[in-house]
Amino acid sequence: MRLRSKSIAVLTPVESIEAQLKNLGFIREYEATVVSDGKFWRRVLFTKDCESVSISEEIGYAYPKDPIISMYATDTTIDKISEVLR
Amino acid sequence: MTSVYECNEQQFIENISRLLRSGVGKIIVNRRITLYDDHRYGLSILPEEEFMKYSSICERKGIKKSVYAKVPFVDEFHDRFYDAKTILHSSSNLPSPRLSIPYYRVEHSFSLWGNSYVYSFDLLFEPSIRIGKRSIRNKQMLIHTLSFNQPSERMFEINIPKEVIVLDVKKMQRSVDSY
Repeated sequence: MRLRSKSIAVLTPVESIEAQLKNLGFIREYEATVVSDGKFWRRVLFTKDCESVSISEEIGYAYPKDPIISMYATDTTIDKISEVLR
Repeated sequence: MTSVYECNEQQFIENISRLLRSGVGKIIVNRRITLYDDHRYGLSILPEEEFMKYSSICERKGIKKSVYAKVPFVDEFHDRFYDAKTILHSSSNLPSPRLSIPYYRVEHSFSLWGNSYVYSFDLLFEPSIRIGKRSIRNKQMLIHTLSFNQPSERMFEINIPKEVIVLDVKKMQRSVDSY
């Protein structure tokens, strides 16, 4: 199984990305509060076998919300996730 | 002359992917993980959603306002007792909270042609609050106890390809070559 890295900042709501990950069989494994660039983020890690996807979303009333999706996954998974980001 | 370029998560991961695609060869990422409890993060500056985790033991009127203990509680991590109404983070002294949140600073970096590319973030300890029996001032009582749980080791990682070698380091010293 060939895996590759892809990281994208998107304007898609986190809920729709999480729903797609659930459809693909990913499990919400860990979450933590992260501070980066002077902002507070909620980082959630999803895994499925060797594949992993993290979603970092700014906490609070930030506008626009542009969560960062970082994937280390197969091309098929990356394409399926990218479908909801369009 | 060498430069240090700061990246965010997306930029750092994408830069590494581009380098791999360009066939630059093996890439080594240095990772430094340091534990801090230096009063950088206090309850007053937390966004509302994060502050809610502490709301059973303390209160505030809003972000960057003073935070007070709502009930007596023990901070297990620092081994301290706070009485009700004790000020935990004053709005007039935001840089020095009395109750500080411990965290790990995680720094990833790689060098290319003498320049360094860095991505760093702080990973906060997760609070948990329970009520338990403890001896306070020689008296057994039921009291709230605040603990800080260490984040999972997986959260120190970022989604970079497995072909990249990640080396854990303690300290980086920059040396300037002279010819």
